[in-house]
Amino acid sequence: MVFADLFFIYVFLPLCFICYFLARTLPQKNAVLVVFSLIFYAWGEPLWVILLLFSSVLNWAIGILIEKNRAAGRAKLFVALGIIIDVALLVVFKYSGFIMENLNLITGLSLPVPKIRLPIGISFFTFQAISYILDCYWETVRVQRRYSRFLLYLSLFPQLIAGPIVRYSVVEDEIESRSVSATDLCEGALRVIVGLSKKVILANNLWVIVDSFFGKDISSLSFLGTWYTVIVYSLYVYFDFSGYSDIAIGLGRMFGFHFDENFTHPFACRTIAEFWQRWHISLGSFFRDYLLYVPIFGKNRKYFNLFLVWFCTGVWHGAAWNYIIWGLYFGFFIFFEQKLGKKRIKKWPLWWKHIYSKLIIIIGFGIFYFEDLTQLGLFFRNISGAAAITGAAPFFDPITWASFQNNVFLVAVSVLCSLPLLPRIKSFFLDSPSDSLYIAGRAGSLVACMGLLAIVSILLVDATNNVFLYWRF
Amino acid sequence: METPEIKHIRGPSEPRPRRRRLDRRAVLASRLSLICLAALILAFALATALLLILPRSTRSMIEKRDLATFPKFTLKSYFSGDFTADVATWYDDTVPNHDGFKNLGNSFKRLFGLPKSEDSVQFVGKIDKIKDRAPGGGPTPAPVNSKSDSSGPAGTILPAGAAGRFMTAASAAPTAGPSPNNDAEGKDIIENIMIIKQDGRWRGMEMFAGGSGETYASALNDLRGKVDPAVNIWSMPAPLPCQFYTPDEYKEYVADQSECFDGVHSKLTSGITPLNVCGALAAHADEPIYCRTDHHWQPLGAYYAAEAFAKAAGVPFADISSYTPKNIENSMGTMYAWSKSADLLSDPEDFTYYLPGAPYSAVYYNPDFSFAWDDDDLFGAEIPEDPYVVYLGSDQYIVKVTTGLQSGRRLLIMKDSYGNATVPFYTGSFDEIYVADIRYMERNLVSMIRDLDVTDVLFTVSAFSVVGENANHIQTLIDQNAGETVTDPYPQPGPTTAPPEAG
Repeated sequence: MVFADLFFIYVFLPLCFICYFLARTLPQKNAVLVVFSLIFYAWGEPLWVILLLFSSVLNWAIGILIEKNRAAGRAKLFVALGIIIDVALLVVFKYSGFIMENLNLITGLSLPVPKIRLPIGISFFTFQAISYILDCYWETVRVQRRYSRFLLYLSLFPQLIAGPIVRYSVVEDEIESRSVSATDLCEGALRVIVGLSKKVILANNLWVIVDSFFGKDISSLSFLGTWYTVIVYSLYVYFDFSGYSDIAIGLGRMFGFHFDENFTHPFACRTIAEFWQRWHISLGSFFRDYLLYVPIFGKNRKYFNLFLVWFCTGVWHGAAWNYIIWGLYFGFFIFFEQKLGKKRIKKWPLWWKHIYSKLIIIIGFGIFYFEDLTQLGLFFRNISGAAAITGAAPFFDPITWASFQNNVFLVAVSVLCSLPLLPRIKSFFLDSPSDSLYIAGRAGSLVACMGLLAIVSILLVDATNNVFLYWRF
Repeated sequence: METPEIKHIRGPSEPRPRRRRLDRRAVLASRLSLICLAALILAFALATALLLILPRSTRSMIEKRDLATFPKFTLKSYFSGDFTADVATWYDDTVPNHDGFKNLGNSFKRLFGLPKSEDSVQFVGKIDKIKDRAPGGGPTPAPVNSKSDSSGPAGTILPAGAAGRFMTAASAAPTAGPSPNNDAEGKDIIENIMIIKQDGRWRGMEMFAGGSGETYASALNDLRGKVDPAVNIWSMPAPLPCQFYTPDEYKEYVADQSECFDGVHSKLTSGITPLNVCGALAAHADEPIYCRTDHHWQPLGAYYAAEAFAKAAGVPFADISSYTPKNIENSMGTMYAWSKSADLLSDPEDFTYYLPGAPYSAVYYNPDFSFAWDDDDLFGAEIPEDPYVVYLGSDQYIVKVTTGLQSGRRLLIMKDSYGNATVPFYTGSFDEIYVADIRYMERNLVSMIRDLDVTDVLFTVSAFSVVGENANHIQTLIDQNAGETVTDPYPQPGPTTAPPEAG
């Protein structure tokens, strides 16, 4: 099921809330959430809901086995077993086709390439399961002995499909004891509406622009047209994914869970390292905590680990070479910044820091887009101006100009919303000592969100492009 | 004597001022949250209830299609995920007042861009240049969804997916005569569309990408070899409006149709007479010869094309002044349905069609040439949301028009929907006119020509059909049921339709 869908907003969600608030005890409420989470998943994956259940049973059992065998020293074995099975599931479902294709390419063999459809959200719930096993082993969380509670953690529908990757430690206490205040419900609902607006009003319409230019052979796309489209695409990915995260965080809060933020205005960053501290934070912190500081290549070979992390970050996003290139591309700039040192970077003028970081990020999104490496090559040729210089593509084209004129406010609003301006406005009102300003701020946000909800609902009538980008990861 | 100022001394249990302010703020926040929550619950509850209670929409007039129906549950459809996906689609698609909300949403999107001025242009789809294209050569044009998957309601004679790209399919029962169309056209057809503002009016146009027309030419050549040499075969492709209304700066994004037609015609054998009407229409481009909100021509454009044909064929041709014009006001055709452009929506047009002055009778046959109904009228219901369906009930019927002439000339028009609008203009030119759609006719074309004593075969299909997949149907018509005998199941003596009264 998709969040940005009238059926979800006006059928599934009200039914879920009615049942949830009719339930009197916490176990009953948890049961309601599990049932609705499984319906939510089975709605999109009627068959592979079995995989989710299998993963939950396996990792729950591994957690218990780790605890029972800790004294005997065999806990490590179960950790390894759990991780191997989790990763194997991911490899089979997500990477087997890619691996076989490349094996055939390298060896010249004609081994059959499996065509397995990727179960929705497998990358997210598998990583959550791995984080749980490792946390259990490192004793940073208590082992969950009740399967129903572990199933709730793994299948909780707000974050099940496309993250954020919620650590068990974040919800550990709230699974067992939580309450929902009017403020939670109100703030959560407003956050959901903001997320829906990001997706339906901004991302969906930005995608129309992207698809009209990048969704075809780009060999004749002009220099400025390529820049225009890749900037719009960067905004699209941000609003699509952060919109989903907003909905997830908002829904979680409405049920009494407090998930960590997944995005903190990444385009306001000044360095690439800072960008990744603001972008898909849950994935970055996962790799940081579970891979970067694990001395796989020895304690003194930190750069191997760094590139391993960025290789994995790329691979995690998809089974295609462009994602690997994309990951290593960012790895290179992180490495570059580390070598350069924070002090030297700090001396750069602010405008240069912004230009440097945005250029790298935006070109990075071009790599992210083109799974077809030929098209990726053309993208570099166009965006570098080489095509315009050689006459292979024009410097500018009237179609780009027409598109820009017809979408100038959409793009401008998107740029503004990607910067931390709205939080500052909000803070001006809500942190003001004046009660009247505070009331005006609260009333304003309510009215704005009601208006946004109306627009979202109208735009969702018969809408066709609502699948979130990160579903496929 | 001044009263000494008494300094307030805070008691041990009295909260500090800042703390007090924070407590007060917390109370205020809590109260405001309750109000906010109540408002949100009310809004959600109201919307949920309205979506639940109000009757659901079943048909979109602006999109010219039936809306999704509730899917049938089967284990297979459930496990494939189709059932649940279709339930959500049904719910989203059949929202009460579907068209009203769609129009509102499309109007909202107008805010994305600068206010529109003269010469404003919008594009829908993936626009590309027509590069290094030799006349009549190059890649195939924009995809032609000649027969989309859909089925009409019970009682319809349409085969599944019978409605074509160029006109919608009627839902009429075979014996009930024409009725409002029931579009079976896929809603997800998105061609490359250009929306322009010219002379203060908005116009939507599909962008023609050209093509070789090999299949079309080859089929016509094959036909030429199989029919009596005395039968005249004519090729008169109908140009699309982008030929005449594309602004100069965007010309490199559309193929020149005149060059394309000449290229195709150069491949025809000498026994086929080509007619390129681009010039004839260009001379009248400042008149309303093409719809602005629909992908068809206006009947006036069809008139000028028919005039060119009549002149070439050497048959009499009645001046348009002898016809009675009828207006379908505020019409909004397919270009809005496909582009969802609020600018087009804001600028509806009049669709003017012409009732022949000469008497005629009309008989409708099913695609297999079995009798459907005898209506004595070439015109059906007027539907502002789909004005072009006023012609011939729909695309798929074979129609016989009998006039009062005794010239010995019998015309067979092989057409797509573009040909429909030309038919009334031949009522003063031929004794009998048979009209069949290249996409739907189920009889053998060679036998039809032979057994119905046809003297002239005219191919009037749009530029897309000349170079696109629709051209494949012509060869199918030549090959299917080869050698069969075709007899008219409803021979009719003479014209019965009286000329319309003046005024």
